[in-house]
Amino acid sequence: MKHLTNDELNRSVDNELSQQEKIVVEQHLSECSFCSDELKSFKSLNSLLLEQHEEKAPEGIENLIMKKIAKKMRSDKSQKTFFRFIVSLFSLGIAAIIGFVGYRASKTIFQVSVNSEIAEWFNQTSAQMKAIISLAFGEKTLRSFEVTMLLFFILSIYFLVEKYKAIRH
Amino acid sequence: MKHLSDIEIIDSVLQGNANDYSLLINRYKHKAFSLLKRMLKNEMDAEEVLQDCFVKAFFALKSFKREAKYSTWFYRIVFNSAVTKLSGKKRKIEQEMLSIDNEDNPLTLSVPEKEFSQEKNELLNLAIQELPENYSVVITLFYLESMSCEEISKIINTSVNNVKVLLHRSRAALKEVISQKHLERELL
Repeated sequence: MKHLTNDELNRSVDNELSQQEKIVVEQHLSECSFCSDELKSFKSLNSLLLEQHEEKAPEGIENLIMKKIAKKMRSDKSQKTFFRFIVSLFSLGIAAIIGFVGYRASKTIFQVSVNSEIAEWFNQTSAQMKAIISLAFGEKTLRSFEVTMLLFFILSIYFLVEKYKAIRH
Repeated sequence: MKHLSDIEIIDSVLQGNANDYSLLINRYKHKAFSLLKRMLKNEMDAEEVLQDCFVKAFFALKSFKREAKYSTWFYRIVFNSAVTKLSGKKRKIEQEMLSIDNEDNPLTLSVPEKEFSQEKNELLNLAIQELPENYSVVITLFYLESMSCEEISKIINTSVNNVKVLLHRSRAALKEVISQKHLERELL
């Protein structure tokens, strides 16, 4: 006699047999004590598994996890700040170079196009400022002043953009 | 006290109340620990991976899409972490075996005898731990976590039919382990 397969027995436990399969299985079970016992033990295993209890996690594990999370949050934050600082320094350097080159170029352009009103105003203001600073501090300080002003200008634009981004975020 | 749903807790955590995450930890720690212990067959490893899973899930909460249940999403993290841990352990064992072979030592592994307990639950746990990982996962998720075959299929990344097949095979394998250990009288 061919016995029922594990699959048939399992499907019988789960009530997954079709009507036709059910008739065949029941017929077999009525004639075969081996398969009846097998089905019985599968059914008791199923009930046993349904009754099982979960295992207890170690005491105080939630505190350990929360501490780990807090630690990771702190380290992520400091890493982020450091990264932002490096990026800021780098972009400031690039912006200063571009700005300074642009400033020098614009000066040359304004000096060439004498007819322009803006150029005239630019040249006049620039000359007045130069005269005041060179009188007060000397010729060398004038160059440093130009560069410093330019850097301050770029820096303020950068911080404005950052502030805008932070507000939007 | 009002019982908050998983989603309500997640919303609260995402709004900045990180301490509320402990509610989720308390809700899932025992079940996740049971699953990990059965997969990893070691309490220390299970505890370590459990902590990592909760930390990982906390920082990934933003990416949790509410299409699936939180439990399904979280157990997927647990399952994948356990699989990663197991593959690491297997590699380590292979290396250790290789070094033993190289030293030309006679291999005598003594298997410590398992503590006998009268409680059915402990006996059952011991029997389940004898099963291959994929069987113990399916058994644990189906019976202990009361998950449907569909949910399990999402966690272990396979088809629903395959989960059913795995479930049938794992029950048969568990019955085999119980009979090999002569535990039929105590358990079945």
